[in-house]
Amino acid sequence: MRSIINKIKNMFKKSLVVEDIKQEKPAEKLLISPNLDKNVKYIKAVFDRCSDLVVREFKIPAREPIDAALFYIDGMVDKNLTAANILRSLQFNPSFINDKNINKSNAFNIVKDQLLSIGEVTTAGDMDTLVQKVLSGQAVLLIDGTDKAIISSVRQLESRSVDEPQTEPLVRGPRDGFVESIRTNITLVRRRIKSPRLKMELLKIGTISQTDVAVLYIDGIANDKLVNEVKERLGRIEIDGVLESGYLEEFIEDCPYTIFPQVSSSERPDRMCACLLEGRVGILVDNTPICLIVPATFPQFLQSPEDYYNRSPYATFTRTIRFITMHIALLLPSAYIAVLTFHQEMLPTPLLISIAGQREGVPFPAFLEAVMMELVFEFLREAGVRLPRPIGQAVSIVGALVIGQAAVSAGLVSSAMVMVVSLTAIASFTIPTISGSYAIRILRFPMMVLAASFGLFGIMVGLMAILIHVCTLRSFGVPYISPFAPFSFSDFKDNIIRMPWWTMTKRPSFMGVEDAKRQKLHHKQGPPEDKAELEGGESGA
Amino acid sequence: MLEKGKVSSRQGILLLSFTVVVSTAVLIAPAITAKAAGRDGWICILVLGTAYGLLTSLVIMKLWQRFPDKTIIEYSQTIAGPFGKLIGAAYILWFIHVNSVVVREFGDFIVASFMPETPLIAFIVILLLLGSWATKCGLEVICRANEFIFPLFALSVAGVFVLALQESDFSNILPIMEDGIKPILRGSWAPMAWRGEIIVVSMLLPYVENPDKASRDLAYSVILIGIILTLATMFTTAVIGELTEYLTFPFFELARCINIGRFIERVEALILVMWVAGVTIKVAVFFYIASLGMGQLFGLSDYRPVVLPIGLMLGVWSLELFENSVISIQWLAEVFPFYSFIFELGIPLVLLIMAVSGRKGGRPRSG
Repeated sequence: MRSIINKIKNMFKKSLVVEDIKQEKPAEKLLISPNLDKNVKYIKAVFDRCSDLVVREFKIPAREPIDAALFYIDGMVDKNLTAANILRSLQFNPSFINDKNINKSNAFNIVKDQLLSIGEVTTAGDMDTLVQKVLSGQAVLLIDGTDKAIISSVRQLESRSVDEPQTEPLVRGPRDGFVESIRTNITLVRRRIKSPRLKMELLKIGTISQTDVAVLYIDGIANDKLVNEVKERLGRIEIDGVLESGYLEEFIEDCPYTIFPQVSSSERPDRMCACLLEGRVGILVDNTPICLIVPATFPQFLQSPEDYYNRSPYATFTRTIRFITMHIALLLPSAYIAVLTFHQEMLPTPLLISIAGQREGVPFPAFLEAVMMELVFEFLREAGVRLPRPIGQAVSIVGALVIGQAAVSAGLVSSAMVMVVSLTAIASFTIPTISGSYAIRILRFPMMVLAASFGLFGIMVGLMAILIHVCTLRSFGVPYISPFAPFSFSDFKDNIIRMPWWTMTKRPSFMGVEDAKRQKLHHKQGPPEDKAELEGGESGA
Repeated sequence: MLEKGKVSSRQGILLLSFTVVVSTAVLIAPAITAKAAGRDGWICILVLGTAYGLLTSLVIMKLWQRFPDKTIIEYSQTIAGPFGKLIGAAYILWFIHVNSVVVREFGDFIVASFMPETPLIAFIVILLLLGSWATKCGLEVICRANEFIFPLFALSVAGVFVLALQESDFSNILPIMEDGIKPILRGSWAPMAWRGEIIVVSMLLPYVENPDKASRDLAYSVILIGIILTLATMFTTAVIGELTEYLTFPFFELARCINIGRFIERVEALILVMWVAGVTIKVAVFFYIASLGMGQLFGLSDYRPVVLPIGLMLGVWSLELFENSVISIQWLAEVFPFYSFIFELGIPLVLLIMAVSGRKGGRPRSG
């Protein structure tokens, strides 16, 4: 028994992730034997101590009743469907019983072609596939005398219903978000792009977890090299289990040692579809509502899908605001430190006097004060994120005391500092993506150290260092800060400013899309040319 | 080839040479030209400086057309044989020397204008760390970083111009050429030397993706630099007037003078932003070409191992070069022009004549 299990374990280890690599090693496959008892014994051995396996052994009524066995995992299949369309069709079929020509040798074909009333039926010849199919929620039927298994797709997994995305709510835009089931998620994408050019290739990643991963792209738009690169990088992963798309993100990013996210993630199907249409590649992972989109460029982390749904002036306004607040979130505390420590002359004298007056009772230098308050804010944020809602309110009350008037009256910080911290916090909340805001929040601290040591010069040096660093970054070969550098004028139509849709005739060029044309030129609408007719129509009515 | 990256002509030629020349020249040029030519300093920069810049770029382009995949370090060896190695070594030394002067100027400026209590060495070390990092990242990264800061740089300069309009009195520029042409000729040496720094592109040309645009972009760059520097000098003269020649960093003082409606004042922070960004790129470029040249001269398979030694050399050299910023400005005005003339125009011209007479290199391509 043990040896068999070990053998299976080894098989799992060796069964490589990508389908075509697996086919290169056919010698390792254990084939299904024509002897049903042997098969059942084997499968029971494999699933030893797995209480969720259901084995239904029964006889198909014929002149000489044929032994058969049905395997499935309890809770992963639709029980009604299994009972009605598999068991019932096989056990209560008068024509089958009366047909004298049926025996062990042709039962398999008759069952598969005539009796099973299931939409998707496939066959398998080896144990490895069989076990996997059982585990992925299919019902597997073995018939005595046949060395093949019939696999009926009766999968029904418990799943949350499609809900509004919690992390990316919009004012204007669709309300549906991805859920934990990859099938539902694929449907959500397919519903938006009804074209056979939308390809979705399934992979299995995780030597033990065997997680379904789908690579989505639009054929003829996404660059073939990019698609292959994504598949290759995914194929190289040999981890035991993938529980969330974040696992994959760390495996496939170009540069692991950076603070900047190089893969964008989202739980919005509309964002995913927009990116697919731009020629990017999407990755859906089973059991998580968060999808991955590659390649990612930095400006993407400052954009929200809503920018494309609002009219262009409004979108441009909000994007500009976000661009400014990103800099505030990154630089405001350090600028405060630099000005108070080194460049007091830069403030207007009345303001300087008022700040100096407030700081009179404060025992700490500006740097310490700022770091302390920023840390307190980060504590508060972390405390608030994972708390159950009712306790969360308590945190906000306490938080208002800690970063607020109480701290000022205790003489720990100046009220100007409270303003700075609050403004920084508000600014960092405007960054629409979580990974983007993490990068900014973390970088704030080294910037504060630089500002405390070298003033404005230090801030500038920090910014230059960040700039040089982001210039070295690439996400799947695409320069990270495109279209700023390398500069591309046509891509600037959708960057800080968002031009109206009818002007965006081209897809972003930096991803090397196969088909750059998005729409024909001059789609701009105007008043109807034939005015007389319209006016006439109105007067007539 | 030591550098595997490719840059577009706009990134590598037009924008990079602009930053290389303007980032330092814009701050000091008005003072040095004013010393010799008084209020006519802008003519020095506009006329003779541009002419010299165009001449230098013409020589570089002609040489490059004969050796399209070689840098000046490489083709000097082809043209002049064993003597070419010496030329290459001299160029590398010159690159390092100029770079250390730039680093020193930068350190002096920060110490004098922003942080008088911090030792000079701190700024030099930080700048060199940034420069060596950029160098290690390679040409593509330097070009991309420059492409990103170029609009920032241009906007800061333009912003200073626009804001200074209120304070400026353009009658300060008149009368033009009161003392004849001689002071202008004398004042032109220093601007010419800076404009000639465009020679750095001779190290970058082989890595340009679209060579057919390179000549045009180089010419544009020379002209654009001419316009910006001329405007800077004119505005400085218009705002500060006769005093310009006594200042060390007149463009910075110009920014200090700006005060509009008591709420736009003290915009010199803009100058700091511009200066740090521009000088980082400039130092990185000179650092890079010195390392690349060294790699090519000694036939190394990678230029990165020489980055650290060159960085140390730069640090020591820039600390020990001058006693103070007055001496450095004097050196820049009096010694540097003649010294750099050899490298910017002298040697390339000799190489070109040798190449033409010795029929070396490929046929010059048209366009």
